[in-house]
Amino acid sequence: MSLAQWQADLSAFALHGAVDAAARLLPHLKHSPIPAEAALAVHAACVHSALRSALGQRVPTVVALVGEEFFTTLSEAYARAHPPTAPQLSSWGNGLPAFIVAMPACAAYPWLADMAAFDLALDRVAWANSEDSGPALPLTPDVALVAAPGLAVLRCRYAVDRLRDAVAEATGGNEGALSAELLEAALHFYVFWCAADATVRCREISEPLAEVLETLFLSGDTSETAPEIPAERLTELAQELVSLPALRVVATTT
Amino acid sequence: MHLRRAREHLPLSLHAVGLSLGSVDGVCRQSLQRLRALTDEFQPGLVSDHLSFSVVKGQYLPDLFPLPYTKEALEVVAKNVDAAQDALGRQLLVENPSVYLSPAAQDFNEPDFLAALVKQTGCGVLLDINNVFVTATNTGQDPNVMLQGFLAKLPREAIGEIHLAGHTTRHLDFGQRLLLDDHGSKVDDAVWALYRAAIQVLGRVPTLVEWDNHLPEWHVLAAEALQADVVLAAVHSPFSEALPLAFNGTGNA
Repeated sequence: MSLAQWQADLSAFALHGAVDAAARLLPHLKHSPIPAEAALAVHAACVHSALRSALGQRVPTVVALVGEEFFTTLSEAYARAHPPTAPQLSSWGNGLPAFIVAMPACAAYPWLADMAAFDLALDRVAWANSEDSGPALPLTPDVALVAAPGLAVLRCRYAVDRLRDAVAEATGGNEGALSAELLEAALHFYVFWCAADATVRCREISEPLAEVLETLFLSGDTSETAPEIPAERLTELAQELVSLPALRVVATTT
Repeated sequence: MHLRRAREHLPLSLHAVGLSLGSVDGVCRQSLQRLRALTDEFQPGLVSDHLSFSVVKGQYLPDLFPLPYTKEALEVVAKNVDAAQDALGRQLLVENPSVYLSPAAQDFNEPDFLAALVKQTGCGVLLDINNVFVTATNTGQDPNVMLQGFLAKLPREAIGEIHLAGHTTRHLDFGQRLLLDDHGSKVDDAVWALYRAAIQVLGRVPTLVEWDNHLPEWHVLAAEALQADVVLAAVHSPFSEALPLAFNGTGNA
């Protein structure tokens, strides 16, 4: 067996439990003192345990809501569908909300994808460098509105911030602790940022403010053809924008 | 910030897990770039990674998969170690892994494979004594004989660092004993005995007690480090002055 085949089969078995890969490997393995099947299983368990741990650290509220057993199964399914394609596991799992939406078994938890997106947004901001600056919007030649590092906006169909608080407060932190009111569907908009003291901040905001923040700071398009916000809309939201702690007015001249 | 402060007072040993030195696709460039940035900034005394692979066709799996010790594997690992050492501009220590499955046909045993790698690339070796014990037990070898193999085949100056750790025992259905290198308990007495035997031959070598699961109270960790210090202090080493970092402290990571 070539080294390339060895590596392909060992990883395929560890990640996917591929029976054909195991069948190719077994004739090339010693079966004593430990059965080769048991030895292979160690690697499969190690891979999925490490991935589950990494993903669970990023979405702790999801884990608390669905429980260890469900989350372990979810993590294994997600890992098989979306294995890490970069060495930093701390950034693996961004596709989990969409994966949850597509999983029939998750239909019983309609708020789960939003909760995952919320947890992931918090985690991403936690990795932002508080000493960096976010995108800046020139207001006048001398003044700019500067976003805090890690600025992000999230749209959810559930009040996931309150779901998260309820889980944190509930003994045992499970779904049974959630009131029906919290599970009612309604649009919510959140802004996330990294504060100067390096703490992660989140606040619920209005839909118009979310749209303005996305357009002005998060579209990634700074060209002259970038979508414009009508002046009257900006005027209406000026007070909210300036008072939002995720933004600060900065003099751009020395 | 904490690492910067520590570096002001102590030498560092950087221990990597992501280079995938055994990968047929080549060393992991992303991990190598990040490791290079760290070594440039912190100027550690020692830098190490494992004799294993974890990257396959662009997928990064968090495990240290074992290699068959074949001529083909030696060629691949040597090429990757050369690439890593070139990029880092320094010697890399390569650690013997914990092995659970063993190929039926190999061209080398583990000590011979590492000795050949040292000869071809000029790399050093991070000798993990717990891994020696785990691998020997899991593959039906005598741990003492395996350790003696390492000590006999490797140039003494090539062994730049030693690791110690705890392991757990799993009893399988038909009475077999499978050891798991889980870094979650005290160093086993049998591993301490191997360590003493190794230090008798090698002299004082920088030693790290690894404990990163089920962390105990600090005093338990400190006692483990102290035990390693006691072993090291009892030995006079003709090589200690030649070591890049002849400190006898231990640490936990």
